[in-house]
Amino acid sequence: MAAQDLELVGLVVATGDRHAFGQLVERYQTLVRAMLTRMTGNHALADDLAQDAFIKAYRKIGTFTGKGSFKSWLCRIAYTEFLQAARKRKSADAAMERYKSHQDVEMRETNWDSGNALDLDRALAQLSEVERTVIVLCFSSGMSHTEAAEVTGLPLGTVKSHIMRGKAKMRALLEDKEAVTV
Amino acid sequence: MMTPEDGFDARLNAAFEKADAEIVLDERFTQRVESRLGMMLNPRTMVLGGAGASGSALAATQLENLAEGVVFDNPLLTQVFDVVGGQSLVAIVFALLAATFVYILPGRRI
Repeated sequence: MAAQDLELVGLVVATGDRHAFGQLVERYQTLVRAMLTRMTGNHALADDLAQDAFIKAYRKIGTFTGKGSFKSWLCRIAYTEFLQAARKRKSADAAMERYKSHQDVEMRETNWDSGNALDLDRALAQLSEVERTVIVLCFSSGMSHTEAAEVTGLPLGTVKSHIMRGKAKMRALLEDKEAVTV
Repeated sequence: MMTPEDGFDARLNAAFEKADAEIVLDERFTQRVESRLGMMLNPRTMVLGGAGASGSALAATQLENLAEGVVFDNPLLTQVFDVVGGQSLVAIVFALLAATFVYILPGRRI
């Protein structure tokens, strides 16, 4: 699998072959779209960001050295796209805060179903941006803590503490929810 | 032995797996990315195209005899040929050929 990635990357670097890159898009689109959907909580926005991330990856593919995995390199670009979009949407943050506080009430009123994507997104929305990111990278994208550190550019120890904190918050939310519904 | 932490991890993994299962492979997504790539010229294409076109134009200026004896039926083309000159016209044609080749080459199917 990794060798195939490298072959396709080599072809794109050498000739700019769009169809070879299309194969990489096909291979990683669900991973990137899922990651961004969980980070943004919005399918349409996630798809737009994923498209931009792939376009940027095509432009910058010459900088992929092959030291880490293509998946980590691509997720780093997607994460940067997410951060840039989040910065641009700073004015919407106040609205997001209001939305989150509304969700706090909603979380207590409705039954938390861990298999429901909407409920999972609601729980993720309670975390800080960085906690949400590392939780998504490790649990949704199936990355190791080291890979999550590569993607976010954070030290490994910091990633581990954010994961611990994020999980504790999610667990508290879940248990709180279950206690209310019993 | 499974700790409560492991149990919660498994529960979280299952929750993400189920939620992410809603995001399926979308061929239109790939097509949209490919079509956006088709609309942009990457720097490599521009550099190679520019270098190839310049080189071909320079080389074509040495082919003095290639445009000799060319006669056009169309008076407009004859006028252009007279103004631009046969040698320059050959250089332009060669440059366009090289640029087109560099532009089309990356789009070929593998």
